[in-house]
Amino acid sequence: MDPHTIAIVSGLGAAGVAAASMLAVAARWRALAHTPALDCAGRRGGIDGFWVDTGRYRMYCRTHPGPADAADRLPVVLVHGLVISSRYMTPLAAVLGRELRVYAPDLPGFGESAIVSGSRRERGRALSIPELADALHGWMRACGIGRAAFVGNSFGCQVLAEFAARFPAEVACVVLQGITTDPRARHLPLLAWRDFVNGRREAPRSPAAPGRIDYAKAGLARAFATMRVLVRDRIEYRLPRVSAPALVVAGTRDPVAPADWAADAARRLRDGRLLVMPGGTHTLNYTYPHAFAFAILPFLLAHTRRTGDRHDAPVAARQPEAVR
Amino acid sequence: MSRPPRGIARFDSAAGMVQALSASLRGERYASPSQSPTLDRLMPAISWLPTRPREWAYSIGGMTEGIGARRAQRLDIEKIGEWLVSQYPDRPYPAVFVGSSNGALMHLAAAMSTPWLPQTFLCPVRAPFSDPDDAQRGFDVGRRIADAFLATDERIAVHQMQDPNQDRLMLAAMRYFRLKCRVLPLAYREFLLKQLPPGGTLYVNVCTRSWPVTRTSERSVFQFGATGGATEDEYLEGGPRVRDLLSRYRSRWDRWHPPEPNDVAPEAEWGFDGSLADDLATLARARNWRVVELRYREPEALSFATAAICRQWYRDAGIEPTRVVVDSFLLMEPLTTMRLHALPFWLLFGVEPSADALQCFLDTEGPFDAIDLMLFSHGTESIGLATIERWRALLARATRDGRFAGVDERRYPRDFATFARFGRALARREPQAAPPPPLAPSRFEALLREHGPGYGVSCTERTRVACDFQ
Repeated sequence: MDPHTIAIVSGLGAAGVAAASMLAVAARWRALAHTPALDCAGRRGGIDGFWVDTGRYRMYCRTHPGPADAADRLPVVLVHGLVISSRYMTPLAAVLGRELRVYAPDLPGFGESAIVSGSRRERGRALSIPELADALHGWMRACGIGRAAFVGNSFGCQVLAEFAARFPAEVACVVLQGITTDPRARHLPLLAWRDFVNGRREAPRSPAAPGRIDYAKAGLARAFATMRVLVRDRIEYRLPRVSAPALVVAGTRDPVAPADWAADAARRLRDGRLLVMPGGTHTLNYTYPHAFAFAILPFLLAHTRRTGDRHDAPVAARQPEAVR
Repeated sequence: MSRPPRGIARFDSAAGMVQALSASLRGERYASPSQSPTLDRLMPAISWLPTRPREWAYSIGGMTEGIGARRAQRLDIEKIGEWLVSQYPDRPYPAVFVGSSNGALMHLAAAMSTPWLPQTFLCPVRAPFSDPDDAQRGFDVGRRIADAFLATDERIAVHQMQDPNQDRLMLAAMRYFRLKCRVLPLAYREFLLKQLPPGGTLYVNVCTRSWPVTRTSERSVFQFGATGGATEDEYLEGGPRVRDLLSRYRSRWDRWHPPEPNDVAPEAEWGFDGSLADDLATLARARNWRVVELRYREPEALSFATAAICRQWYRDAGIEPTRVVVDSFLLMEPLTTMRLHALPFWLLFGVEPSADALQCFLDTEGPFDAIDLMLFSHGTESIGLATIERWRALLARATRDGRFAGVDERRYPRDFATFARFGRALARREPQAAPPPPLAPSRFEALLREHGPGYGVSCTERTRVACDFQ
């Protein structure tokens, strides 16, 4: 065989392998995008799920009913981070569910939740932080939740800061863990590097597996567009507008939201305090859910007693028709 | 089972004991401290090497377990804690042991089917071509490394340990740093919160063995020498046995010159650092766990108490134990010991005081039909090392069958292949049967209160009093 033929055969072979690999990746990606909302571990932990239509959005929510006397207290709402969905909140929801009723909605465009009105282009674009806060507010109204405690992780803290600043009556208290974005790291490559380091520190408990599912569900275009939203947001200017009692939780091994930035964030809040978890990383809700819940439960329990205010009416009395 | 992360040595007592216990909890035998089938296959070949090359192989093999000095400033104790807890089956437990390393405790925990979380682990740092007898240099160089460890995590205390008597082969290639957790690593905290339900029992294993040290900071000390064959005075002041050892190993010294001790601290490997108690007590109060303290001074005291408890545990199941399996340092196999319906008797090391302890045990608790004895090889004709003849004589106390388990008597104490042989050798012993049902915590405590005081082991519930583990 002459060299020219060998080159052609090698090239075709390499192209074939590349094409087969891409097809395999695409098939895997597609399979991930069709992963069911609830897995066996979640169901074993008492987690269920429901959809609600809020008009522009059709939102999915994982929920734990809590103990028998859960109606005596306000519920707690868990708000997920960047691109990922409330799927990775399941371990924390299962633990908090021993004390409180828990809701963990997927924000529109992520996980199981979708933007259902508007043009195709409109439905595909990434929502801004104020829009995500509005969506959360709409979801609460659709569910009949007047007031709640909130726990956010990472990008979820940015959404919660906006939400708490604009809808103070709905917020009994807020826990901000792994708060982004550190003003010294307002660059996507630097944040990506910090996230990579965090992933290595969190192994083998890393939320990478549910993360892959949620990236496939959200799509890469929305993922990158939302990353830009995260980087551009100046949460440090919004924090002073939050009046609800706030607990900022920092892990000493969290490279994405280092403890000194978290301390700065806590100082900027009107009623903020800092809780440092030695050894903690960025996604405590997934990697160390029992230790994280143990650390924040006293704060949550102190602020979830019902006061008789109109916002505090038990959720069960005003539960909307949920679509299972 | 996975290999440990960088920063904890596989030949460490804590790593070995966790692997032995966790294997038992999974219903598996513990046959390979190295966790490397390749290394285990190489071991017999290494045994055939002449003495000096065999010692080099041991030193170099040990050195590969160490980290570089610069890596000390990046040590991640959470990774180590994560690896340790990941060895145990993911299920709730009625009780969990926390605290000092102790081989006898592994048998108790195996009988109760409960895990143990070690407070102390060994992080060796590579230092090739070091002089194991140069105490001052070890102190000076080690201090910088200890500072790097301290800077990585404020939750740990650093005990640099230099024992040129028993660790001299390893010290030629590395320095020993034992890290003690003064606060629970997050991985431990998560494990306890997840696996120990309210009402469960937290057993705190407190070995009060201490050692004269040179304190270099609030959280770091330098310990010269260690529990074993030589006395504290011999390490610090020298003596004929020290001169003889140094002369045999052609050292340029005739005694050691360690920095002047200025404090007494928990022994680096076995002692309990009481700082952990506050964290445990706070967690226990919040979770409604009982806190029960096991306290003793000499590590082998618990071996006597354990044998007595196990004897009664077997009798509760209608079994009269007539066999004893003698462990050596990290050579132990809890599951096979239980399957043989044998009493476990853990020895700290292959030294005369340990041989004396075994002799005392056989005198008071014997005779036994069968005795199986493992012997850890550290590669050195160290001060106080019991000879193979002494061990043979002890085995001869068996009325029917006294045998070494996986020991090459001609090569001891350079019989490094014993690490790959002891588990298989013990597994071949017959007859074996199912272990008795797990020992209930309440029964364990009753038996410990009955048998422990006779051997200097106390058992105290600490739930409603201020914890003082000092």
